[in-house]
Amino acid sequence: MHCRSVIRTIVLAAALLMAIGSAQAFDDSKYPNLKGQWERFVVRGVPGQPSHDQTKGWGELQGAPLTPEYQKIFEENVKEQDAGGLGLGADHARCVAAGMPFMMVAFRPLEFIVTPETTYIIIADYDPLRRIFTDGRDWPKEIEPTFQGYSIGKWIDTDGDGKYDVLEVETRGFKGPRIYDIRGIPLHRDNQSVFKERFYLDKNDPNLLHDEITAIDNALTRPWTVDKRYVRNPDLRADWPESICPEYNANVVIGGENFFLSADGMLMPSRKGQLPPDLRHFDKTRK
Amino acid sequence: MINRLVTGAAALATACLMALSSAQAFDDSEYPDLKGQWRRIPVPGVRGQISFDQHKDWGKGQGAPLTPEYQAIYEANLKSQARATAASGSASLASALACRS
Repeated sequence: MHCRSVIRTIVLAAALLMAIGSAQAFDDSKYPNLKGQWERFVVRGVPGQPSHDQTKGWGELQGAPLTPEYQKIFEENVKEQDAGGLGLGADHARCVAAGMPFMMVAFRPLEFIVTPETTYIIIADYDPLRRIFTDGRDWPKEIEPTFQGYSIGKWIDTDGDGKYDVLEVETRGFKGPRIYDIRGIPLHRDNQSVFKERFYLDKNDPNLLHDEITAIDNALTRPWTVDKRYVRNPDLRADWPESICPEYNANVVIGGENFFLSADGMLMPSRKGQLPPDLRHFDKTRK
Repeated sequence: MINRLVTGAAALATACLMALSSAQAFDDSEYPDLKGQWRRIPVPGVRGQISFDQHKDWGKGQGAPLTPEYQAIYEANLKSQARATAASGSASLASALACRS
């Protein structure tokens, strides 16, 4: 009787072990729950469009620690924008990808998809997504430059409870030009930027996600760190908006100058007194 | 001795059950392995740009079962493309060039 019981129990234990073996393929309980739709944290009273440091106004109000050379570039861009131009925001206004770090501003809600090998951040605005590789790979010998860069991350269990709570990420390998916000705070033209990030859920609020992001860039006098925050939409089946930039974009850049398309599809000036574009390649003028 | 074995095995089974309950959160072994980078299969000899049915040429070659109304719209579009191509010397696909998805 006892022998049968022992055998049955051992068989049960063996079956369970086999079941665990197959179920352990991806144990998502080891990772923080990042499911849902994440919207940028809005600080009331902050003027301008969303920017890098969410607690401050855009552009000049960010207090970016720019080198004198890049401060000058930025200020010239501000003058151009104030005169009706797009300044350093021209490429983005034409739907060119924002890239790092502007893409993390979350104009549209973000989605985080965590797998053991890769964490995906779906941006679904001007930029499609980020891939953060967590499979233990090293930096490739050569990186094809991109606006979002090449990201390698590592999950860390900071409090030793057997669950990961921080995703540390480093991102390199950029192309440009890139800016921090649409007011035109520039990154260096050499595209040698490096970003170090720490993603973690707030200890007191699991619906608040932090992205502590440090920009290391040759246009800065020192590393620039901000704590970006995102708020989880309580509706776990919320709609995901579609954003196709060229669908409604009225900005047209011709010969380095910005023009607008009017509602009737005609070219119009973007600022008072602007001359029409150079039509040298047209052999007739419209009457 | 047997009692100890029974107790040990029961403890092991309990531990296994506990481990299983936490591991069951997402069992990806139940799903097909779709990991990696997937590319379309180019079919040799198929002409034109990439289209809906990979096995057939683009445009008319697709043989799309359009209604008469939309067949007329489609053919008018082909004429417009041909005129633009003749005028500029290159294909004019307005929507694609405007970056719409």
